[in-house]
Amino acid sequence: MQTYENKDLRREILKTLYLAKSSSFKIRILLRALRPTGFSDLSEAALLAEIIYLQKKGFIEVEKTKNLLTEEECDLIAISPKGIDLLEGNCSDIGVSNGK
Amino acid sequence: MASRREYSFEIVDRCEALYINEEKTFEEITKVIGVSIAQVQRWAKKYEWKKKKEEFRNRVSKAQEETRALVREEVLLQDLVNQKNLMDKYFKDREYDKADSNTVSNYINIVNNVSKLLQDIRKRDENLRNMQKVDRPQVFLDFMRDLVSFLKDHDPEALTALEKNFDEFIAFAKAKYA
Repeated sequence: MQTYENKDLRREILKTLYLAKSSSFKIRILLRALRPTGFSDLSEAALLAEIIYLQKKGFIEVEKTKNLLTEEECDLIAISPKGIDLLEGNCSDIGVSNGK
Repeated sequence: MASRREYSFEIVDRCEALYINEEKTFEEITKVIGVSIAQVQRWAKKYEWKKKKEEFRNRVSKAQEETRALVREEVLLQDLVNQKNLMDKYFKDREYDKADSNTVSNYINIVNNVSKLLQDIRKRDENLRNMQKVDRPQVFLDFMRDLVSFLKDHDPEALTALEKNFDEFIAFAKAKYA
């Protein structure tokens, strides 16, 4: 059963990426980082849905990349300048909670 | 007129702890401790329980947020280090100037971010440890306030004696606990 609001989850995704100093991460790493923050029942599919939402709004960037050694393809996710502005309170968005 | 029953400070403290730390309502405190609701309300007003509860909540919520951020940063750091190790292997048999420029730039970015994240984790860890430290001067001041209030109601002579020797008492307490 989902025990969180999507708007809060979107904010936590942005906060997590922001904490990482704009580095890129695989979705599974994000899932692991988010679960101890009140989203223990979060599934990979639910997280992916929110990532697509945030990407469409321009708050995050998703880059396809290849593992240098195995050549395996994966998505790397990072916060965008617009996402940083949102978190730093320089703008607001109806789809992301304001953290209050 | 019936005189008000007197209660020990331990009872008042227990009620305060129930209200502040355990988030009990006045009605619940009344049931647990067996004092009237009017008495609990008087103590709450006199000892500013509402304000203390708010401060306690803020401290707890700040500590929880710091802990969550610390956990997140550690997971992310672990992944960055994995990414760095992977790139180290990639670069092992290559010269940097012959490698793909995007990969070199990513590598530098990752190394910088590992260092920044490590600094942040250390800072956050330090903050958390400071938050968990007991504020001894504040505890002492709170105790003195309670003591003065208690003596005023129960033993005004002792309060006068304390006032007369106040400087000496503070010097004694400082030597023992500071």
